[in-house]
Amino acid sequence: MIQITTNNDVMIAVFQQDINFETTRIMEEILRHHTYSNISRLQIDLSAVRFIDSSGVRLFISWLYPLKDRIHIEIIGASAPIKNVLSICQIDQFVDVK
Amino acid sequence: MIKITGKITENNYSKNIAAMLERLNQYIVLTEMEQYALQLVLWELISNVIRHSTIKKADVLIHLSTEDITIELIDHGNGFDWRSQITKAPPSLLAPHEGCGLFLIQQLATHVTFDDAGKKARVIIQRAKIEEEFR
Repeated sequence: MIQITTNNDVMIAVFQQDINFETTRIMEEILRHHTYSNISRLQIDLSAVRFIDSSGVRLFISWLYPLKDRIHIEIIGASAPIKNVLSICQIDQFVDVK
Repeated sequence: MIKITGKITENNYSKNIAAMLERLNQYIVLTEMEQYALQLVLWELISNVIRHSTIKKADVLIHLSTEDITIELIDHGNGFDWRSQITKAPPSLLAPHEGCGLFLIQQLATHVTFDDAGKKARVIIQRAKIEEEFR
């Protein structure tokens, strides 16, 4: 569902399926069990994600907004429509969407 | 004009959304943005019924023309209080648990209406608008 690896102060989170109201609850649990105090950079890979709904948007906001002031966060591999959704919801204001 | 219908229940909604989109694709090639917008609107309307309605069943009708895509959803349950949910503001960064499904629908659609009881939704997506926003 989410593959998370940490190398030194960089965490990489690879989402492996769509992020919708069926999957966000389990994803939230997975993300809650990781600590973010020792990292300075978080890279989120959405290459395998075809669809994000409003539950996915809420997941990103609740997960990432509290981290934004001390961690550089970037999203890579997002499709054009997913980038559009992230932009509409202003997530790109505190996350570097590449 | 192309019409696609679907009968949605708690047990089949995910497969039914995919099946409706697949049937549409047999008639017309939608752009990536159109496909996503249609899927997102369907998903948000239907997941709202599945999560909140008293009877987790709905009928869906999609009309597709060269100018726009119209989605009609009839909730078999009690409907919902759409007036308290409808907002033009983006989701709050400080209150991430507030819903933003209707906000997303409004951003992608040109026309969003509900009947008084919140049981019948009608959403029109102007196909040119999607491509314009994408640019």
